[in-house]
Amino acid sequence: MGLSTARVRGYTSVVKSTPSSPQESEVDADQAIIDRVFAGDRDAFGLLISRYSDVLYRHAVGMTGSPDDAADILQNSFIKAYQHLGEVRGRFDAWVFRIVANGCKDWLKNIRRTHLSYEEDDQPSGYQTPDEELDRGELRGDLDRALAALPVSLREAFVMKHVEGRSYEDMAELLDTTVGALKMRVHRAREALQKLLEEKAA
Amino acid sequence: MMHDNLDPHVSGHVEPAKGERAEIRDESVTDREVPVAGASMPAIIHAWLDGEPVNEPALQAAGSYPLWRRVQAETVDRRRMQAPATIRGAIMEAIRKEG
Repeated sequence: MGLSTARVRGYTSVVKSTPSSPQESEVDADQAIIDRVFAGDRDAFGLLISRYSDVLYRHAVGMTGSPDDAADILQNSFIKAYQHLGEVRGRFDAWVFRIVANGCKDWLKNIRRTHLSYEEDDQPSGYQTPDEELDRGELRGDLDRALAALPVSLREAFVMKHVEGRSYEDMAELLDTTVGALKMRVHRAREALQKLLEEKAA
Repeated sequence: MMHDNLDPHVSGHVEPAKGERAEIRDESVTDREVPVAGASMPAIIHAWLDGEPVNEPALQAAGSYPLWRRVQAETVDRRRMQAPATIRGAIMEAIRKEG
Protein backbone atom coordinates (compact mmCIF):
# COMPACT_ATOMS: atom_id res chain seq x y z
CA MET A 1 0.00 0.00 0.00
CA GLY A 2 1.06 3.59 -0.43
CA LEU A 3 1.05 4.32 3.28
CA SER A 4 4.40 5.56 4.52
CA THR A 5 5.65 3.87 7.67
CA ALA A 6 8.04 6.67 8.60
CA ARG A 7 6.77 8.04 11.90
CA VAL A 8 8.06 10.79 14.07
CA ARG A 9 7.15 10.88 17.73
CA GLY A 10 6.89 14.01 19.86
CA TYR A 11 3.37 14.77 18.66
CA THR A 12 1.93 15.15 22.14
CA SER A 13 4.57 17.60 23.29
CA VAL A 14 3.91 19.80 20.25
CA VAL A 15 0.21 19.86 21.02
CA LYS A 16 0.69 20.57 24.72
CA SER A 17 2.75 23.66 23.97
CA THR A 18 -0.01 25.10 21.81
CA PRO A 19 -2.69 26.72 23.98
CA SER A 20 -5.15 27.40 21.16
CA SER A 21 -5.26 23.76 20.09
CA PRO A 22 -8.50 21.81 20.22
CA GLN A 23 -9.18 19.65 23.26
CA GLU A 24 -6.21 17.47 24.04
CA SER A 25 -8.48 14.46 24.35
CA GLU A 26 -9.51 14.88 20.69
CA VAL A 27 -5.92 15.25 19.57
CA ASP A 28 -4.91 12.18 21.56
CA ALA A 29 -7.86 10.27 20.11
CA ASP A 30 -6.69 11.15 16.59
CA GLN A 31 -3.21 9.98 17.45
CA ALA A 32 -4.58 6.71 18.81
CA ILE A 33 -6.47 6.15 15.55
CA ILE A 34 -3.36 6.90 13.50
CA ASP A 35 -1.42 4.41 15.63
CA ARG A 36 -4.09 1.78 14.91
CA VAL A 37 -3.76 2.41 11.18
CA PHE A 38 -0.01 1.96 11.39
CA ALA A 39 -0.52 -1.21 13.39
CA GLY A 40 -2.40 -2.66 10.43
CA ASP A 41 -6.00 -1.66 11.18
CA ARG A 42 -6.60 0.16 7.91
CA ASP A 43 -10.34 0.50 8.55
CA ALA A 44 -9.63 2.71 11.56
CA PHE A 45 -8.90 5.49 9.09
CA GLY A 46 -12.66 5.61 8.53
CA LEU A 47 -13.00 7.04 12.05
CA LEU A 48 -10.92 10.05 11.03
CA ILE A 49 -13.09 10.51 7.95
CA SER A 50 -16.24 10.42 10.08
CA ARG A 51 -14.77 12.86 12.57
CA TYR A 52 -13.72 15.56 10.11
CA SER A 53 -15.61 15.09 6.86
CA ASP A 54 -18.53 17.40 7.70
CA VAL A 55 -16.51 20.46 8.65
CA LEU A 56 -14.11 19.94 5.75
CA TYR A 57 -17.01 19.47 3.36
CA ARG A 58 -18.50 22.78 4.54
CA HIS A 59 -15.17 24.45 3.84
CA ALA A 60 -14.99 22.96 0.34
CA VAL A 61 -18.59 23.89 -0.50
CA GLY A 62 -18.00 27.40 0.82
CA MET A 63 -14.90 27.79 -1.31
CA THR A 64 -16.16 26.17 -4.52
CA GLY A 65 -19.90 26.83 -4.33
CA SER A 66 -20.36 23.34 -5.79
CA PRO A 67 -21.41 20.38 -3.59
CA ASP A 68 -20.29 17.87 -6.23
CA ASP A 69 -16.84 19.38 -6.65
CA ALA A 70 -16.55 19.76 -2.88
CA ALA A 71 -17.23 16.03 -2.47
CA ASP A 72 -14.57 15.23 -5.08
CA ILE A 73 -12.03 17.48 -3.36
CA LEU A 74 -12.84 15.90 0.00
CA GLN A 75 -12.48 12.37 -1.36
CA ASN A 76 -9.16 13.08 -3.07
CA SER A 77 -7.88 14.89 0.02
CA PHE A 78 -8.61 12.01 2.40
CA ILE A 79 -7.00 9.53 0.01
CA LYS A 80 -3.94 11.77 -0.14
CA ALA A 81 -4.01 12.05 3.66
CA TYR A 82 -4.03 8.28 3.98
CA GLN A 83 -1.14 7.91 1.56
CA HIS A 84 0.94 10.46 3.48
CA LEU A 85 -0.22 9.68 7.01
CA GLY A 86 3.38 9.21 8.09
CA GLU A 87 4.03 12.88 7.43
CA VAL A 88 1.57 14.18 10.02
CA ARG A 89 3.26 16.63 12.35
CA GLY A 90 1.12 18.06 15.13
CA ARG A 91 -2.67 18.18 14.82
CA PHE A 92 -4.15 15.77 12.31
CA ASP A 93 -7.20 18.03 11.82
CA ALA A 94 -4.97 20.99 10.94
CA TRP A 95 -2.89 18.88 8.59
CA VAL A 96 -5.86 17.43 6.72
CA PHE A 97 -7.49 20.88 6.64
CA ARG A 98 -4.48 22.21 4.75
CA ILE A 99 -4.75 19.38 2.21
CA VAL A 100 -8.43 20.23 1.61
CA ALA A 101 -7.76 23.99 1.54
CA ASN A 102 -5.02 23.51 -1.05
CA GLY A 103 -7.33 21.26 -3.06
CA CYS A 104 -9.91 24.04 -3.09
CA LYS A 105 -7.34 26.61 -4.19
CA ASP A 106 -6.13 24.35 -7.00
CA TRP A 107 -9.73 23.89 -8.09
CA LEU A 108 -10.29 27.65 -8.08
CA LYS A 109 -7.21 28.18 -10.21
CA ASN A 110 -8.55 25.81 -12.82
CA ILE A 111 -12.19 26.75 -12.84
CA ARG A 112 -13.48 29.34 -15.24
CA ARG A 113 -16.99 29.59 -13.97
CA THR A 114 -18.11 32.84 -12.46
CA HIS A 115 -21.64 31.86 -11.61
CA LEU A 116 -21.86 29.35 -8.80
CA SER A 117 -24.98 27.56 -7.74
CA TYR A 118 -26.15 26.26 -4.40
CA GLU A 119 -29.19 24.46 -5.76
CA GLU A 120 -28.16 20.97 -4.77
CA ASP A 121 -28.16 21.65 -1.09
CA ASP A 122 -31.39 20.40 0.39
CA GLN A 123 -30.46 20.64 4.02
CA PRO A 124 -33.31 21.54 6.35
CA SER A 125 -33.64 25.23 7.04
CA GLY A 126 -34.20 27.13 10.23
CA TYR A 127 -36.67 29.50 8.57
CA GLN A 128 -40.29 29.25 9.50
CA THR A 129 -42.62 30.77 6.89
CA PRO A 130 -42.91 30.49 3.07
CA ASP A 131 -41.98 34.16 2.74
CA GLU A 132 -38.86 33.60 4.77
CA GLU A 133 -38.03 30.55 2.65
CA LEU A 134 -38.39 32.59 -0.54
CA ASP A 135 -36.33 35.38 0.92
CA ARG A 136 -33.75 32.86 2.02
CA GLY A 137 -33.46 31.33 -1.44
CA GLU A 138 -32.77 34.75 -2.94
CA LEU A 139 -30.23 35.64 -0.28
CA ARG A 140 -28.54 32.26 -0.69
CA GLY A 141 -27.96 32.80 -4.40
CA ASP A 142 -26.84 36.39 -3.91
CA LEU A 143 -24.48 35.42 -1.13
CA ASP A 144 -22.92 32.64 -3.22
CA ARG A 145 -22.36 34.98 -6.14
CA ALA A 146 -20.90 37.63 -3.86
CA LEU A 147 -18.62 35.07 -2.17
CA ALA A 148 -17.46 33.85 -5.58
CA ALA A 149 -16.44 37.41 -6.45
CA LEU A 150 -14.15 37.76 -3.43
CA PRO A 151 -10.40 37.14 -3.58
CA VAL A 152 -9.56 33.65 -2.34
CA SER A 153 -7.97 34.74 0.94
CA LEU A 154 -11.01 36.83 1.91
CA ARG A 155 -13.46 34.13 0.89
CA GLU A 156 -11.48 31.56 2.87
CA ALA A 157 -11.44 33.74 5.97
CA PHE A 158 -15.18 34.50 5.74
CA VAL A 159 -16.11 30.84 5.19
CA MET A 160 -13.97 29.67 8.10
CA LYS A 161 -15.36 32.31 10.44
CA HIS A 162 -19.01 32.30 9.46
CA VAL A 163 -19.80 28.98 7.75
CA GLU A 164 -17.49 26.77 9.79
CA GLY A 165 -17.96 28.84 12.95
CA ARG A 166 -14.27 28.76 13.89
CA SER A 167 -12.61 31.07 16.39
CA TYR A 168 -9.97 33.50 15.17
CA GLU A 169 -7.42 31.60 17.27
CA ASP A 170 -8.23 28.31 15.55
CA MET A 171 -8.16 29.97 12.14
CA ALA A 172 -4.77 31.51 12.91
CA GLU A 173 -3.37 28.12 13.80
CA LEU A 174 -4.80 26.44 10.72
CA LEU A 175 -3.65 29.16 8.33
CA ASP A 176 -0.36 29.83 10.11
CA THR A 177 -0.96 33.54 10.50
CA THR A 178 -2.00 36.00 13.21
CA VAL A 179 -5.38 36.68 14.77
CA GLY A 180 -5.04 40.35 13.80
CA ALA A 181 -4.40 39.54 10.16
CA LEU A 182 -7.42 37.23 10.07
CA LYS A 183 -9.70 39.77 11.73
CA MET A 184 -8.64 42.21 9.04
CA ARG A 185 -9.41 39.68 6.29
CA VAL A 186 -12.81 38.84 7.74
CA HIS A 187 -13.69 42.51 8.16
CA ARG A 188 -12.61 43.25 4.58
CA ALA A 189 -14.63 40.29 3.36
CA ARG A 190 -17.74 41.59 5.15
CA GLU A 191 -17.28 45.08 3.75
CA ALA A 192 -16.89 43.72 0.24
CA LEU A 193 -19.87 41.38 0.62
CA GLN A 194 -22.07 44.15 1.94
CA LYS A 195 -21.17 46.33 -1.00
CA LEU A 196 -21.92 43.54 -3.47
CA LEU A 197 -25.20 42.60 -1.78
CA GLU A 198 -26.31 46.23 -1.60
CA GLU A 199 -25.50 46.72 -5.28
CA LYS A 200 -27.59 43.66 -6.10
CA ALA A 201 -30.51 45.00 -4.06
CA ALA A 202 -30.31 48.50 -5.58
CA MET B 1 -17.76 64.24 -30.41
CA MET B 2 -14.84 62.40 -28.82
CA HIS B 3 -14.20 58.78 -29.52
CA ASP B 4 -12.07 56.31 -27.64
CA ASN B 5 -8.90 55.50 -29.45
CA LEU B 6 -8.93 51.72 -29.68
CA ASP B 7 -5.36 51.43 -30.87
CA PRO B 8 -3.77 49.53 -27.96
CA HIS B 9 -0.41 51.22 -28.45
CA VAL B 10 -1.96 54.66 -28.26
CA SER B 11 -4.33 53.97 -25.38
CA GLY B 12 -1.52 52.49 -23.31
CA HIS B 13 -3.11 49.07 -23.34
CA VAL B 14 -0.75 46.36 -24.53
CA GLU B 15 -2.15 42.97 -25.42
CA PRO B 16 -0.37 40.37 -23.29
CA ALA B 17 1.80 37.77 -24.92
CA LYS B 18 0.22 34.31 -25.21
CA GLY B 19 2.00 32.92 -22.17
CA GLU B 20 0.89 35.80 -19.98
CA ARG B 21 -2.82 35.13 -20.40
CA ALA B 22 -2.95 32.23 -17.96
CA GLU B 23 -1.23 34.34 -15.32
CA ILE B 24 -3.71 37.12 -15.77
CA ARG B 25 -6.62 34.70 -15.45
CA ASP B 26 -5.12 33.31 -12.27
CA GLU B 27 -5.07 36.74 -10.69
CA SER B 28 -8.84 36.84 -10.83
CA VAL B 29 -9.11 34.00 -8.34
CA THR B 30 -6.14 34.73 -6.13
CA ASP B 31 -5.41 37.62 -3.83
CA ARG B 32 -6.13 41.11 -4.97
CA GLU B 33 -7.40 44.17 -3.26
CA VAL B 34 -11.14 44.62 -3.26
CA PRO B 35 -12.35 48.17 -3.37
CA VAL B 36 -14.82 48.59 -0.55
CA ALA B 37 -15.30 52.33 -0.69
CA GLY B 38 -18.86 53.25 0.07
CA ALA B 39 -19.61 50.09 1.98
CA SER B 40 -18.70 51.21 5.43
CA MET B 41 -19.95 48.86 8.12
CA PRO B 42 -20.50 50.16 11.63
CA ALA B 43 -18.01 48.78 14.17
CA ILE B 44 -20.88 47.46 16.25
CA ILE B 45 -21.89 45.10 13.42
CA HIS B 46 -18.36 43.70 13.20
CA ALA B 47 -18.29 43.31 16.98
CA TRP B 48 -21.63 41.50 16.99
CA LEU B 49 -20.58 39.21 14.15
CA ASP B 50 -17.35 38.48 16.04
CA GLY B 51 -19.41 37.34 19.02
CA GLU B 52 -18.53 40.25 21.25
CA PRO B 53 -21.08 41.68 23.68
CA VAL B 54 -22.84 44.70 22.18
CA ASN B 55 -25.53 47.16 23.15
CA GLU B 56 -28.70 45.65 21.69
CA PRO B 57 -30.63 48.88 20.91
CA ALA B 58 -27.53 50.40 19.27
CA LEU B 59 -27.05 47.22 17.23
CA GLN B 60 -30.61 47.22 15.99
CA ALA B 61 -30.35 50.88 15.07
CA ALA B 62 -27.26 50.25 12.91
CA GLY B 63 -28.03 50.70 9.22
CA SER B 64 -26.82 47.36 7.90
CA TYR B 65 -28.13 45.28 10.79
CA PRO B 66 -31.13 43.81 8.88
CA LEU B 67 -28.87 42.63 6.05
CA TRP B 68 -26.34 41.04 8.38
CA ARG B 69 -29.03 39.46 10.54
CA ARG B 70 -30.18 37.61 7.41
CA VAL B 71 -26.65 36.75 6.30
CA GLN B 72 -25.84 35.51 9.80
CA ALA B 73 -28.97 33.31 9.81
CA GLU B 74 -27.96 31.86 6.44
CA THR B 75 -24.36 31.13 7.42
CA VAL B 76 -25.40 29.57 10.72
CA ASP B 77 -27.84 27.43 8.74
CA ARG B 78 -24.98 26.26 6.53
CA ARG B 79 -23.11 24.98 9.57
CA ARG B 80 -25.56 22.07 9.60
CA MET B 81 -24.49 20.97 6.14
CA GLN B 82 -23.14 17.43 6.16
CA ALA B 83 -20.84 15.56 3.81
CA PRO B 84 -22.65 13.04 1.58
CA ALA B 85 -23.28 9.82 3.48
CA THR B 86 -21.55 7.82 0.75
CA ILE B 87 -18.23 9.61 0.97
CA ARG B 88 -16.67 7.56 3.75
CA GLY B 89 -17.42 4.33 1.89
CA ALA B 90 -16.06 5.71 -1.36
CA ILE B 91 -12.80 6.79 0.27
CA MET B 92 -12.32 3.49 2.09
CA GLU B 93 -13.05 1.58 -1.11
CA ALA B 94 -10.40 3.60 -2.96
CA ILE B 95 -7.91 2.93 -0.17
CA ARG B 96 -8.63 -0.82 -0.23
CA LYS B 97 -8.19 -0.92 -4.01
CA GLU B 98 -4.84 0.72 -3.56
CA GLY B 99 -3.84 -2.44 -1.73
